[in-house]
Amino acid sequence: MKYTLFGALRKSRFNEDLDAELEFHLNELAAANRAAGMSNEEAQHRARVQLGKAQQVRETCNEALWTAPVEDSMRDWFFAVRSLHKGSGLNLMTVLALALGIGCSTVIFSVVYNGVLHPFAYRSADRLVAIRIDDRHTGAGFRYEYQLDELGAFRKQNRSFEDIVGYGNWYMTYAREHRAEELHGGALTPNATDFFGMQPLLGRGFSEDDSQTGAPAVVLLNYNYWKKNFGGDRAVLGKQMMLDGRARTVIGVMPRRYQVLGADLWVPVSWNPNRAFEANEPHWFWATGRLKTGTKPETAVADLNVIAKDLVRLRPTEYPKQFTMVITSLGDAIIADFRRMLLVLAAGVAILLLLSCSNAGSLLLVRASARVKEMAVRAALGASRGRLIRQSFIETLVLGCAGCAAGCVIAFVALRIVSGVLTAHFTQLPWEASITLNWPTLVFAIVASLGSALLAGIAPAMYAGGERVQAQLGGTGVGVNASFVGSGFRSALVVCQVALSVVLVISAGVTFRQFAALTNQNLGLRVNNLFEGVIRFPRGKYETIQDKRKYVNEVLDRLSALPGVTNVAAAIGRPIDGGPVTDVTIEGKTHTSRWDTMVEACSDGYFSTLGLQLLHGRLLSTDDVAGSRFVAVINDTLARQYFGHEDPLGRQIQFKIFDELPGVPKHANFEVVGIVSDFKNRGVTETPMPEAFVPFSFTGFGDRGILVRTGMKPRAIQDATERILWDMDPSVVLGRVATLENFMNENVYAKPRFALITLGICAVIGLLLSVIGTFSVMAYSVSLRTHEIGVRLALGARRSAVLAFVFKRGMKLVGIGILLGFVAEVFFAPAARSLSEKGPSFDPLTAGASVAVLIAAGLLACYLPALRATRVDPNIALRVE
Amino acid sequence: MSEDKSDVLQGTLDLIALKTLDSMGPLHGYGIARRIEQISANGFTLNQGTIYPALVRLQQRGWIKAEWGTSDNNRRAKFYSITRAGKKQLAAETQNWERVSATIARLLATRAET
Repeated sequence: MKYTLFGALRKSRFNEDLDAELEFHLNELAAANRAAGMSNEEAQHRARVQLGKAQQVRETCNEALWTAPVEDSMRDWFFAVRSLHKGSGLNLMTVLALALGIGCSTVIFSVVYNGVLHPFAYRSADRLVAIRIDDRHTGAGFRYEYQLDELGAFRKQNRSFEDIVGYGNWYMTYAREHRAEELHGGALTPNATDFFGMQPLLGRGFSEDDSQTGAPAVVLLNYNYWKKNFGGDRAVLGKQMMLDGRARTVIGVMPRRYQVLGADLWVPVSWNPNRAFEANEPHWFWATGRLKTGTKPETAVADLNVIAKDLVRLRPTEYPKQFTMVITSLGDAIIADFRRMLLVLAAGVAILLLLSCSNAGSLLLVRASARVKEMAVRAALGASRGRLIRQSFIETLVLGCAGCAAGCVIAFVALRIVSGVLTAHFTQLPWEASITLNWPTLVFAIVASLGSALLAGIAPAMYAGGERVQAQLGGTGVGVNASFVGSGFRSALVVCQVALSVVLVISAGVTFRQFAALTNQNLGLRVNNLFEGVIRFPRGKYETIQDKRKYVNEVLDRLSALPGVTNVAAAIGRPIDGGPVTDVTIEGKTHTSRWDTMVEACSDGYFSTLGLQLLHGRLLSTDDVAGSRFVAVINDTLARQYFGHEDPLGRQIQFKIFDELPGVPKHANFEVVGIVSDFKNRGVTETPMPEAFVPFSFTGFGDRGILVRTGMKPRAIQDATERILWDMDPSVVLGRVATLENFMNENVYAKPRFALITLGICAVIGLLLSVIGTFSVMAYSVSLRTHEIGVRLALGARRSAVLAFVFKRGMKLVGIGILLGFVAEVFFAPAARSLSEKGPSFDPLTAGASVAVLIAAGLLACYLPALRATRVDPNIALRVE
Repeated sequence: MSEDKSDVLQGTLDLIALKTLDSMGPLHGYGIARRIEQISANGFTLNQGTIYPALVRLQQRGWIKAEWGTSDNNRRAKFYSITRAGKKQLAAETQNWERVSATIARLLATRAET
C-alpha cells in the first residue's frame, strides 16, 4: 500500500484490510489470554484493552496515510529553501536569467501578436477581406474604390459573403463659435455597425433608418476623439455638432478598438446611388466583405467576377480591358508590410528564449556539479534515488517558480511601458490594435523555461542515484567535478550562448546600419523646421484662377510676415510622399511606353523653401505665378531621362492629367525654363522619379498645400495659420497639418525603427544572458581550480600569468562561440538578405563591431573570476585537501 | 513540549518496528507487538494498536512491504517484511541514534560529575 495518486480511491480497500488485520490481532490476543487461564469473556475483554480502541487505531492509521507524505515533502521544501539560500549568488543569476528570458520574449511577442498578427477586435475578423480590381494586363492593382451602385450589386448578387460594407473619407468642417476645424469623418453604409459587430460604448449604432432621406442627421464618435474633445463626458449623447453646415445629433460613442478609417467620427450614408450628395460627401467607397464560413477565396473571387462582368457594361471606362476581382484578408494588408521584419523578429525572440533556457540550464548544472559529493554522500547514507531526485526537483522548482514569477512581473511592467510608448509614438500600428499580454506566449515561455530548468536540475540526482556512488565518494572534489556533468557540456552551453548572441548582435547591427543609412541619406532637401498643411476650400468658392491666386498669395504674404518664418510656399503634394503622376508628351519626341512624371503646382518660393539647387536656366518667378504662365521647371532626372543629351530649355511639354482639369485648355504646352537638383520625391527608399514644377495658378481647381520653414513650435504655427484663415474667410479650413520631420518619423521611419528597437532589445538581453552564462561557468571553473592555482602560485607563478590563464580559458570558449555564430550567420545571411529590406544584410563594419562587442562582453565575464583567481592564497588553497 | 515528546516516541516506535522486522524476518502486526513487549520486558507498556499507524508510515516511505499470508494457526494475516531501502534507512538511523545517544550519555555524565 504505497502512497499513490490513487491513494484516495483505495481508501475503502485500505480500511477493509485494516479491519481484517485488527480482527486477527484481537483473536490472537484473546487466544493468548485464554491460554493464560482466563475465561472466554474475560480473555476477549482484556484483548480489547490491550489493543486499544479499534476506532482510534483506524483514525490514526488513516491520518498517517496522508501525514507521512505531507511531512516528507514539507521537509523537502524546507531543505530546498535552506540549500538555495546557501548558494544565493548563483541562484539569483539563475532566477535573473529565467526572468529576463520569459519577460522579454513575452513582451516582444505580445507586441508582434497584438500589433501585427491579430490587431482587430471586429467580429470574425479572420474572415474579413478587402475587395479590389486588378488589371490582368499589368498585374497591378487597378481600383480599390467603388460607387454605391456597384457596391449594392456586389452586396445583393453575391453568394459567398455574409455581408459587404462600404466606407469612404468625408473631410468635414466642424464649425464652433469663432473657429472652424477640419475633422476626419468616415462615411459608412448603414449596415456598418452590424457588420463590424462591435457594440457602441455609449448610445446606439447606425440602423438602416438613419440613412433614409429626411431622417434626422446623426453622428457616431470615435472613442479617442470623444476623450480628447469632450473629455469623455457621457452627456455628449444628444448634443448637436455643426458639420459641413448641417446640424448632426450625437447618437453614440464607439469603443476604443472600433477604428474604421481611423476617423474622428462616422456618419451613415444611404445605399441609394441616385440621391442628392452633399458637397464633400464621398462618391467612392472602399469595400470590405465577410466571407461565409467555409467559403474558399477562389469561390468568392469567381462569384465577384461574374457580377463585375455585368457591371462593366454600365461603366466600360472604369474597368481595365482584362481584369479580375481580388480579395485580400484585412490582416494581410497590414502583415504584408511587416512580413519580412516579422520573420526576423520572431527568430530573434525564439533565440532569446533559447538563450535564457540554456543559460538557466548551465547555471543549474554548475550548481549541481558543485553538489555531486553531497548527493553521493546522501545516496550512500541510504537516501533513495527517488528521494534525491525529488529533492533536486523541488529545489529546481523553487528556483524555477521564482524565475517565472519575476519573469511575469517583468512581462507585466514592461508591457505597460511598451504599449504606452507604442500607442503614443508608433502610428504605423493599426488603430484597432490593443497591446495586451499574450497569455499563450507567457505560458509557453514559462513551460519551456521550467522544463529546461527541471531537466538540468534533476540530471545530477539521477546520476548520483546510479551505480557510480562509490566512484563519487572515492575521488576528491576536483576529480569528481571534472568527471561529472562534464565540464565539456557546460563549456558547450557557453559556446552555444555566445554563438546565439553573435547572431542576435549582428542582426541588430545590420538593422541599425540599415536604419542609419535610411535616416542619414541625402534626401536632396532640407527636412528640419518644415511645417506643412493643406488649405481646404469650400465647394463653389475660389474656383477661378484669379480668386484662388489672390487668396493663396494673401495667405503666403501673411504667413511670411509672422516672426520666425523664413520661407513660405504653396504646393499640392507633400514633398517626399509625392504628388500626382501623369504621362507626358514632349514636342518632337515619340514614345510607346508611358513617360511617368510627377507634377507639382507650386509658388515661386517652393525651391528656396525646400532648398533645391538651380542647375540650369531659371526658377519660377513671381511673374510666372501672377501671370499664370504655362512654364515649367523640371528636375535633373526628367532632363536626363527624357531629353538625354539634348538641351531641355525652351522645349514644350504636355501633361496628360491637366486635360481632365476644368478650365485648362486641352494639350496645353508648358515651356521648360529651368532644371533643378533632384530630391527623393517618391519615398526615401526609392530613387527620384522625373518631376516637373508649374505655377500653382495655372488652374483654379482644387485645394492647395502650404509649406512654411520656421523655428516656431508646430502647435504655435498651426494656431497662427488657423487664425489667419479664420480672419480671411471662416469657411476655409486648415487640414492635414504636420511638420515634415514628424511625418517622416511616424510614417517613413516608424517601421524600420520598430525592427531596430525590438531586435536591439533582443540583442542587449541576449548579450547580458551570455555574459551571465560565461561568468558563472568561469567563476565555477576558477573555484574548482583553486587548488591548482594555489600550487602554481606556490611554485612561483606570477599573478599576471594566473590572470592570463583564466582569461585564455574563458576567451577560448568565447572565441569558439563567435566563430560558430559567424558560421550560423553565413548560413542565415542568404535568407536574411532576401528577408530584410534594401541595404546590406552583412557588412564587415557591422561584423567587426559585433565581434568587438562580444569580445568586450567576454572579457567582462572573465574579469571577476580571473581577479578572484589571482587573489588565491597558496597557503589556504593547499590546505583544502 | 508534549508534541515533541510524541514526535520522539513516534520516530522511536518506527525505528523499533523496523529493527524488529530486520532481525526477525516477516511478521504480522500482532507478532511485532508481542516481540516489542518481550524485548523491552517491562521497559514500556505498549498500547498494541499504536503499532499500526507506524506500519502505515513505514510502508509509505517504502521501507517495509506487506503481504497477506497464513499464520501458524492457519489464519489469514498480513505479514510485513523489511525492504532494501528499509535496511539502508535502518543503518543510517542506527548510526544517527548511536551518535545522538552517545552524545546525550556524555552530556548527562558530565552533568553528574559537576
